[in-house]
Amino acid sequence: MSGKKSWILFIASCLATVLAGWWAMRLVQTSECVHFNVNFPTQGNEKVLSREELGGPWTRLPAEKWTGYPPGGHMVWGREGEVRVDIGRQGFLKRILQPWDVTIGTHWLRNVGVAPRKIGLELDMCGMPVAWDTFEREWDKNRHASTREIPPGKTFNMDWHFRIPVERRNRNQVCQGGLKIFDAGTDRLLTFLPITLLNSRVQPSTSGAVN
Amino acid sequence: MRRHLVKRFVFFLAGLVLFYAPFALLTRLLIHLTHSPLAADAHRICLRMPIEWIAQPWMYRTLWDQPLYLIVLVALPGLAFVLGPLFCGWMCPPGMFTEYLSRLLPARWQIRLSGKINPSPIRYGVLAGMVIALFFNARLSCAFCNFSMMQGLVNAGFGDFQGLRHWWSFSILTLGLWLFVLGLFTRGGRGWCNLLCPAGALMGLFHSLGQKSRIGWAVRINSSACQACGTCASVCPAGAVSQASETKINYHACNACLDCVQACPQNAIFYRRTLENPITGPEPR
Repeated sequence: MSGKKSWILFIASCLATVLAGWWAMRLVQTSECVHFNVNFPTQGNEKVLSREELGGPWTRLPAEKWTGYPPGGHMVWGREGEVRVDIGRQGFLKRILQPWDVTIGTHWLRNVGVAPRKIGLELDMCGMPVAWDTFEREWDKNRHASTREIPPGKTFNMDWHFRIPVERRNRNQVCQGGLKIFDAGTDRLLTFLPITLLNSRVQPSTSGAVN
Repeated sequence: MRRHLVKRFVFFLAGLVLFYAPFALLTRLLIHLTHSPLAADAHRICLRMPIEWIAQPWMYRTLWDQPLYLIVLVALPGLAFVLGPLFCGWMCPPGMFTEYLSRLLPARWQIRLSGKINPSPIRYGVLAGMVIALFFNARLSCAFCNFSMMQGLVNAGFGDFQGLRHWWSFSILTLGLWLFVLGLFTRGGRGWCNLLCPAGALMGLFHSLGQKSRIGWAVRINSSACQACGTCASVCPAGAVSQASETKINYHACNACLDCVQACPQNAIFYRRTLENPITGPEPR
């Protein structure tokens, strides 16, 4: 194979890869397996780590644009303070095979406080049964609480899977739920992250009541 | 040759036991040594994410916080430099799985990539694209991961179907390409490895550098003994042997599976270091 052909193949596959990555990222940000970043504590007046102490992707943000942690946490992918999942923007394959099965997840439930902490989680998705899935070893699946202390700046991960019931499928706003992060010891609320489930393929005028 | 294939199958099983849950023995050991709070399964020895992190200086801290990824990032390319991509050819569970899967189908039903397409520019294009994508708010290390999908299949084999219950457009596409189009329906079953695996591309790059150095072991051909019979090219699952006027190895695509070494009827192919190769004639086995 000539050098010219090899270069053409190289550039074509490189471009195809970038496009595939862009497509996958667009889905992950909006509709399929939506992943988000959420920090705790963001409620109350607890002392928290500075942007420099936290490090990681946050250091990319210019200092003048840093306004602290928004009430619902801070999303690197997605809108600040809120997670929106639009099942109407699913890819073709998902729409054909599993349109009503939704996965959301975070690999970055991050302790931005200055003290180590065990956390409890509560996900309310309008009463839909939710399956919990994690890579963590120290996790009490009955209490939905970590059994290890998460050091300052470090993370915990969790994925949730649920199926949208038939009666909610023809609504524009399928569900307005949220994720609560508690202190596992005191049950004090550390962060509440609103999660909105939409179906943009249904006109808002035909939607039913929220929740 | 049959003995060699049985030996490789044993290594395939060893790869499953060492890296994949519910066993993941080596991963467990490394998790224990690095005090990682995460569960032992195939995700912990991921090479795809650290490849992306190389281009993201702000993620270097993650490599430090979770040294398991750093170990993988150093060990696998290092091994490929010194001994060739033995991990790909002998222990990578998803690669070997499709290789065995492809043996179930008659060759006449399969696509033959070898000799028709040079995999090197494509796999390096994918590797480069994976890094370049980060500058366009695009990522694909986790989205198109056959390594993770294999963990779902293994879990299902042990009664845990959670990993196979939930699908996304990119995972459906990955499954179709890895298992079927580039696996079952590709001669040798290594189409995904050859064309689309960025980890394999990185190891191919290190192998090609290693085989040029004084250190690297690689498959060598004694051209004076070779009769260009084509046996090596026909058995190579990676399509890394080309047969024109003379037999040549594409070190960028070679998986170091050593099938060609075992199959050569003239004993003209060896696995050895560069400078130890006088190439004076066939050696006794």
